[in-house]
Amino acid sequence: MKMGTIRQLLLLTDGCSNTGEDPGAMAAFALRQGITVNVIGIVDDSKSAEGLEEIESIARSGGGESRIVKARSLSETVVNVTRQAMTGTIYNIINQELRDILNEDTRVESLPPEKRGKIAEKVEDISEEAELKLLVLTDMSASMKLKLPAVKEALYDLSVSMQSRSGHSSFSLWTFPGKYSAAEERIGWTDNAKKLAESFPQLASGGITPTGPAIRQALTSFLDMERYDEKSI
Amino acid sequence: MKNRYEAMSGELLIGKWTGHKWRVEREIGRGENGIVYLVTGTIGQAALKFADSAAVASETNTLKSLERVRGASPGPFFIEADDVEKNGVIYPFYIMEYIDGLMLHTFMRNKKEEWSFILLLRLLDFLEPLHNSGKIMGDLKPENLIVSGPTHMIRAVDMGGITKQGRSVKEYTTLYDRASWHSGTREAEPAYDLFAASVLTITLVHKKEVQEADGQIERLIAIIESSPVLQLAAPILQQAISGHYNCAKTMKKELLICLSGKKTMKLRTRRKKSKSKKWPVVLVFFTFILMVFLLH
Repeated sequence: MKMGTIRQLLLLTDGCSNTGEDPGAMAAFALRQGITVNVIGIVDDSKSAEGLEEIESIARSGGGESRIVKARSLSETVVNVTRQAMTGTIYNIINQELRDILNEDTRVESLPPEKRGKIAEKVEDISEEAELKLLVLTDMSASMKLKLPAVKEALYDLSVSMQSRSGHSSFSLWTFPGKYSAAEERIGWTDNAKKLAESFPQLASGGITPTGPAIRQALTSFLDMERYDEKSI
Repeated sequence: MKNRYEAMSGELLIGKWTGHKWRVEREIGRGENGIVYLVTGTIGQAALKFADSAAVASETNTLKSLERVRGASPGPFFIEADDVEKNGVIYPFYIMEYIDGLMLHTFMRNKKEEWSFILLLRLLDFLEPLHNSGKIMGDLKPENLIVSGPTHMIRAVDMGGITKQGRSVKEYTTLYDRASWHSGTREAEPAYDLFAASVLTITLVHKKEVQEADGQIERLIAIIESSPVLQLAAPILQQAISGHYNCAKTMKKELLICLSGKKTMKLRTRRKKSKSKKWPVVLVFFTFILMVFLLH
């Protein structure tokens, strides 16, 4: 089985959106275009987090994973979520194929356990070798200020993990709110994930949290890239 | 985790594919990707793990491949995989051997700190066949390891991190991960586990200090150097951290030489001291007897 590109948007935030479109709807829109949306909610040590339902619902409609973590365990979470979502994406494709070939109700789970083992082996191979395009969308509202060093560290960590993979990976970094728009691109598509950590801005921009519009805007980055690819061919 | 099955003590689980019945005794573990229960079936006690379909399938593969390692498995023996179906929802699980023992950190709680070396030796015994089978442990941490039996064998109870060599490590924990200490890649190779084994040994004695070192490798090395307990094996621990070893067997051999070397040296000096201390006593005693004899 030859695998195309796995496309993911990873949203890092610490709270609830407060303006613009519903982020859940935007995540569903992303999923329809073949982009999985994962969400990691970063909470303070002291208080229990609010707006957690939103984090889970964005990931659910985006077909991805969600986690709520403290800043200090962000690094391993970013890597694990990315990996698990890749596995999830591959399984979704297999389920789709099964449904097309056999019938509507067939999923990997309806096969006997021994057959699943063979599929799992294949899925692992694919997730190691497939091309990954990962866009990191980071909330830079005022409350994130103290968590930004942890985000930077997590991005560095992600680059280390992805470099150990045999498949090709590329990355892009977006932050929100932007100066003139909901979100802005900080680093365009690059093979070098270290760049994300190295040039990660340490200044929170404050103000509103337009999570929905930010997702919508960041998605254009995937589309632009495709157009560019077509041209270059 | 979505679709998690929460079983109750005493509940009877019936496998959809095999029809086998398992009575739940109690929960024995819970993690990010699943819940493990102690269950009883016709074969006796076993451990049952609920996880999502992908995790069950991949861990099943791992367990089966470990059994090809010379009869004895570094992990629990795999028994079977099955599903429980409740209200139209499928909950995959697998059954494995129940390993009775204490988790590494619980085991150390009422032991002398020197036990950390014995555990390191055992840890290397555990890693060697695993590495020979072309895999690495990946997520090497006390919570994933169990000390069992009279010989204190170490076996794995969580397969989630076990990764084929040459790939990127599937799961890891920052404290034991060499990349988080800026000391190497996250590529699955024996040296990755040996780094973790070394940090784990240091952690068994100086947990708080290692956590406070916060990923700074110089501070980790300073902990080894200043620790009276770790002194005994300091060169080995440091070389594992610097990536010098890519083979558990070599590390074990050198650790044994190092431990025995230090011990005999200590004994020798002690003997010398005792001899030199004893001489005047013997001399005084002798002259005393001589004097008594002469006085008579």
